[in-house]
Amino acid sequence: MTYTALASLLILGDNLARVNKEAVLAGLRALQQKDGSFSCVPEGSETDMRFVYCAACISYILNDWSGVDTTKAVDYITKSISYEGAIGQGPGTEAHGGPTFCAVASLFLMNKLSSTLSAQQCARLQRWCIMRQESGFQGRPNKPVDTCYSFWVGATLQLLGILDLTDFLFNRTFILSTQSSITGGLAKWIDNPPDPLHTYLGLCGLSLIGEPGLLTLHAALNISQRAADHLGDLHRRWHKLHANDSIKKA
Amino acid sequence: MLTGPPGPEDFFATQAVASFPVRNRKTKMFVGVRNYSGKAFTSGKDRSHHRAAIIMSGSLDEGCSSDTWVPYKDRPEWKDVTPIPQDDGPEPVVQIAYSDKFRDVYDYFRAIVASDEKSDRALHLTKDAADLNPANYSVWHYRRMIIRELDKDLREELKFIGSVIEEHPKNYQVWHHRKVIVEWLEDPSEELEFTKRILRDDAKNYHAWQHRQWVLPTFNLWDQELDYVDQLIKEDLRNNSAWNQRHFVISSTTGFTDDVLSREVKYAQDYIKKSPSNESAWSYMKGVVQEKKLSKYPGIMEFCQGLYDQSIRSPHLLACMVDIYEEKLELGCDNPEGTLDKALKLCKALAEEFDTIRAEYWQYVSRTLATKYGKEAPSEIAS
Repeated sequence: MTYTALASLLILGDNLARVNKEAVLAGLRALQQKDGSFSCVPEGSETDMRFVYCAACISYILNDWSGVDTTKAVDYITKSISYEGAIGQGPGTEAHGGPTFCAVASLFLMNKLSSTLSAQQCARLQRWCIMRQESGFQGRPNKPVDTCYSFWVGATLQLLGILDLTDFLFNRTFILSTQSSITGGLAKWIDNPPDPLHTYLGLCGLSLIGEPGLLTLHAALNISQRAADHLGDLHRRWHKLHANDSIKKA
Repeated sequence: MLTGPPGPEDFFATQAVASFPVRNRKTKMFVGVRNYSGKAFTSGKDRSHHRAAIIMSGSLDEGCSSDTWVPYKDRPEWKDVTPIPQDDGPEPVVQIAYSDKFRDVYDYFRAIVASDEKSDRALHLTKDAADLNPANYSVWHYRRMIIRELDKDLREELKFIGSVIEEHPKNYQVWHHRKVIVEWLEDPSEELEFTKRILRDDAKNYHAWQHRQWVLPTFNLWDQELDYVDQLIKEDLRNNSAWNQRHFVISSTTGFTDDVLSREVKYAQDYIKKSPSNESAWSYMKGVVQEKKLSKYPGIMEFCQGLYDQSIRSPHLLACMVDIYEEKLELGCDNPEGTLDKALKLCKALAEEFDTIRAEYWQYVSRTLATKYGKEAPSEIAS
């Protein structure tokens, strides 16, 4: 929720000045586990790749990684690479489009994507992701395609630099086929009731392949590039402020 | 107005909990204002609330069947409690359209958390709250605190959470609750049978597999697992979760020793022969051999060539052959030109005939190989 709250503030153009940054970072520190993963609440919850991603987004947005032991987090990610070449929720679990996105995006945000994955690991991961396209994308081998994986897998492919090698027409046709003709909105499957999650992620999937009329996406943060640019401005401003402070102190 | 958060059955659909700030000092529990969000979205998979209520009423205490529902505010035994409404701030945006019942239950839930009441009636209230939104972390956490404090029968709780999971098998919070109860009981005797039952309905349920993968090593229950996996693969050779479990079991027990490895390669190959288009079996074979190198492991290329000679053109077969040729080129082979030529021909066949949805990808692989290992300029090979 902290990640989505910060993302919402960025979308709304807030300058994050009222965010209690230290408290958030202390919270992250309390949530990271020995194995590098994160829980979502300090009283205990399941721990997995979703919350590694949330921690990475939060740290990136606040431009401060002191709340995360990135070495441990990277270790958790690499241990979660399965024999299939993609990534599961944790070590030993089945490779899956969702955690694969979370892991790849986390590495990207830490600026550790190319230094963590060997050329061979990267090629196998690319292969696994590219094989997920059947029309739209599936989340695992031998599972039906589902609108949301046009984002989870599509965004991963973009971060890995090869989304352009997928079939845009098939993907687009599938996503649009899940649209409800009565209420609007997208569903996970054709002729299923639409919901906000699949509508949003379906639109993101369309944006990734350049659908006219949609903002471009910052794939790793899962916000528009417009909002990410606003964050870039904030980071530059913070950097300047910090530099001025240092000069004053000197 | 939104009608509720996304359904719990999707990846990353987590419950709305407060970020880090507001905590009740006594209970060490979040009471942040955004802590208690709405009912799970009624999606195709959600079964009727009425049925859930009836099933849940069968265990710990009396149920809340919608036919006989009496709001907490009208219950004399709750007269002493002042409900606490949800604080959406002075200018609420995209408020959730809670039902009256939802509002009533959660107003009282907030009240008992605030007063730190741990009683039988509070326990009952958490059941109603969980019934309305089983994805609420805080409800389950508070319920566990009550169970501890009142020293409730954990077996009854296990039975109860089992029935909730059967209703909501793709919900992170209910599986976590079960895990904690099993830890408290220090008794995993029902877990393998329970997950088996869930997997009977959906053999690829990620949560059930995760729970099983926690139980097996924690309580050392490996004995029958490979047989179970074998049975699942026999039932559906495309069950990728079962193939993954096979890898998990072997990695965690015998490891892939030479004997085991050759047995597993044969196992995968037997299934590939049954269905050469089955990605799961191909991934397994390639995955287990990977460290020893595909091109060097005895029989892999011959196996592929054999299928190829039988006119099988599964993309997974051709892709595997491309990978073997690439590896040979990488490791330095006797006839690099001929090997590259074979690889490029396969890429072309994949792009143009057998895996056309990935045409661009196979052309890219072809270009990459040609650039890396070819003498000619890549532009002449890639079209």
